[in-house]
Amino acid sequence: MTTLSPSTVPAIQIDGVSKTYGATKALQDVSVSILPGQVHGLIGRNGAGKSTLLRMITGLEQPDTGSLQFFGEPAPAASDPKAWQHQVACVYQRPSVFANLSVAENLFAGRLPTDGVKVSWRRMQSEAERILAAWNIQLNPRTLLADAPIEERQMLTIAKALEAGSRIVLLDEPTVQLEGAAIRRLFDKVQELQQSGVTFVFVSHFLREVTAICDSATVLRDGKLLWSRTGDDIRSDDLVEALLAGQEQQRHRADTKSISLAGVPALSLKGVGDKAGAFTDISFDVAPGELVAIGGSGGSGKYSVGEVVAGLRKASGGEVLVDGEPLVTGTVKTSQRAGIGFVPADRHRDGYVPQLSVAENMTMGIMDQIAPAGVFSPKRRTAISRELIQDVALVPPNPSLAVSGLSGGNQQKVVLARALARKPRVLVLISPTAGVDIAAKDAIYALMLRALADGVAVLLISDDVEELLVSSRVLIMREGRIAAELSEPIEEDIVRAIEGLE
Amino acid sequence: MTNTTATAPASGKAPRPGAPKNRALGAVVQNVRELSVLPGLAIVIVVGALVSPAFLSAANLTLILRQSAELGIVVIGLTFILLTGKLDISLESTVGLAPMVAAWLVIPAAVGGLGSDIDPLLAILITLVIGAGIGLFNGFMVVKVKLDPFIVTLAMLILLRGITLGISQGKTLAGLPEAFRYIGSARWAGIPAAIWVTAILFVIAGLVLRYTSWGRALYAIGGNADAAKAAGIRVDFVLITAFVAASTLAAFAGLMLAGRLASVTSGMGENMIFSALAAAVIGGVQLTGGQGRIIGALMGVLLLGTLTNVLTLAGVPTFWINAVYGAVILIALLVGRFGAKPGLR
Repeated sequence: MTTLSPSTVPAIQIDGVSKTYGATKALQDVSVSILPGQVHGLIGRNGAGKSTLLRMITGLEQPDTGSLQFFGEPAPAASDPKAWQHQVACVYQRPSVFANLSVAENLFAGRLPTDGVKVSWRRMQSEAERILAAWNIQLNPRTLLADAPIEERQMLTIAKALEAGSRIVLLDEPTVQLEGAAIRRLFDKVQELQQSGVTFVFVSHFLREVTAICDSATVLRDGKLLWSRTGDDIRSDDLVEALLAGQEQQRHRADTKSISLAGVPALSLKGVGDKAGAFTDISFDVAPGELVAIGGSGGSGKYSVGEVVAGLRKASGGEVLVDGEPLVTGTVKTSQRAGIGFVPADRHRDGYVPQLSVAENMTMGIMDQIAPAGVFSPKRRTAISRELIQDVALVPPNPSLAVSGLSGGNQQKVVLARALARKPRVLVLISPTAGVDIAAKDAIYALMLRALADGVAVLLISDDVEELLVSSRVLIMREGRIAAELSEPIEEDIVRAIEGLE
Repeated sequence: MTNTTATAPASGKAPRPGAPKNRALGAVVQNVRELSVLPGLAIVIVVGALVSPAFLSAANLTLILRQSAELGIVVIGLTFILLTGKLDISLESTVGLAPMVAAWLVIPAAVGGLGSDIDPLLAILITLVIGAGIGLFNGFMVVKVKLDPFIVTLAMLILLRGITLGISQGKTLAGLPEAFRYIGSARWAGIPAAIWVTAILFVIAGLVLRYTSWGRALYAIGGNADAAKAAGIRVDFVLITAFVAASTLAAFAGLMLAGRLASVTSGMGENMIFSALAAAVIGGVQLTGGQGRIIGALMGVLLLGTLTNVLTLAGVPTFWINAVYGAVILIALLVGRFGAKPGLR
């Protein structure tokens, strides 16, 4: 045995780890080694075993066989969560913080500084100021966390973990709730920390993010290690192939150039503003069967455009026309009756009622049709939902299952089915594939393409540049206005337009 | 996942002629949460039968139902509101105020009323309108002004009680007109009309919650109000109508109570809200909204009604009755908490 220099002792060493739940082999003989100061991508479709592996690294789960080492030392005992926290911190999609407490209290939650007996607010304040300054987090320690932007909250979680002594940070899909600019800020920070020797494990659905930030990566498939590589070997094509399980990568591009724009547009905005001021003077048309995408950074007001059309927000000034008929904005029901179907940005918040059944969620927007006099037949509702389940290929195809029991991709299919239930003339989709795996993403795009083929006009609003590329016509919004209209754009065009670079 | 509340409607209705018994049995088995009340109810009944031979007599059982009727009607309304995730603790003061105002209008000035000589039927209508008005106000405050339902209805509870006391000057208003007392005192087919009416209201409430878009909207709002709104449910309207329905039912319960007592007292309905909340929660209605069924709420009401009766028959000293009552509620909640499948929560 030669003595190893400190830099070659892996920060995380996973040796032949297996885990079985009942009949499911969640992990089989997985070995991964991650060096200190690396950003290590962890990739796999839903169910590949990513979360199980993450739970093991955070000590929430013990392997059936195999072992874990941190910096050459055996992992702490399962009974010692403090010791685990000292090694590893995890940042989830939704930062685990106390929104009702101040920034300073969040930083010191669980280890409030005291003067012997009572909490020392003064010391907490000054310590918090020091930490925030060191981390370049633009927050006042007295601010309620609820009022802080989500990426600052995530930075705060990371800062807190590192201040508490962890040298390993797990980032579990940290970008899902973030907009483009915030993602870049997060990445800058991660890279800065990486320089100072912090090790990151980065889980993401976005391959571009993985190739952008990771210098090594592991791909899991069906609980097994597919490969674990370092450096340039983690090229994007390779990753995509690894994820697709040998399938051809499907490129979606809705070719709606040839759609006749001569007739009455299915959706038309003429000089529309948002009553709450999120955008002003927006004008564009979407023809039947046409796909128009809107991109833009956070605060560009792009989501609000969709929400005005869907009736969740009120317009001020201008006119929204559906099939040439003026639409009174501000009521979802009115928009629905005019022929608008809507998939909201955050499915957990606005998309579904978790404890209610698939059938009930899918038909929630058409109760006035199923029950014109307010009374309905559950049999009829189930029949309608069975059709919708077939349309969206829901798995499992069970109308009476509670939506909370479905996977993320299938929950999103339920939301999409709800939007399709009324046979809309116009579909407004906001980030419809956020946080779903590639298979579900394909299915959702296929449904969108089918709707287009049926003559439905689609307005696709997204943060994801890859998603915008699905459309051959992309509008870019900046500061509440349409700043550019791109035809057949490539990725670079879109990024430049969003950032306002000419 | 076979025990979700959502599966129950599908399998609970319209059994196939082929295997009606199995279907019905399946539906019963799926209602685990509601069933968790049954052991408690059974124990109370067994204890009751042991304690007093009079317990199982038809007259005593009728008495239990009659005395539970008003609570049952309040619980129906409260369930509507709890399902949306809101709360209305002023319901018990509506039980007191609505009939008090109506009685005050019709009773001769000589016995403390206003003696306005209006038709008693009109007075009944006024009772219900007052109830609806209180509900409208509560709903408006909660939905439009966005005040916390607990605080708003706590303030209303105190205010309405105060008004009731002010109007009556603390006196009991007796000498109610016959029409006014009818629903609370009449008998249909030998059984008090109040029991019939309450039973019918429970059936209607069960159907409304299961087969109407308004009823399902209560569940959707309680489960995720934002999603309900994005799905096109008129959340504000549904919430306000839930408050109106609950307060109108409470006013009706007050009317029945007045008919039973043949008078209106200023303390009518006092502490009723605690029993109502206990009954609903024991029956599996979640305070956080979105879950629970009217059959469970009914079971909760029956448990509390039977318990009160047994405690009286058992000769528990008056001063100790509340302590025993509270302890049994606590046990019932524990049984409900640990007896139900975790997936149902």
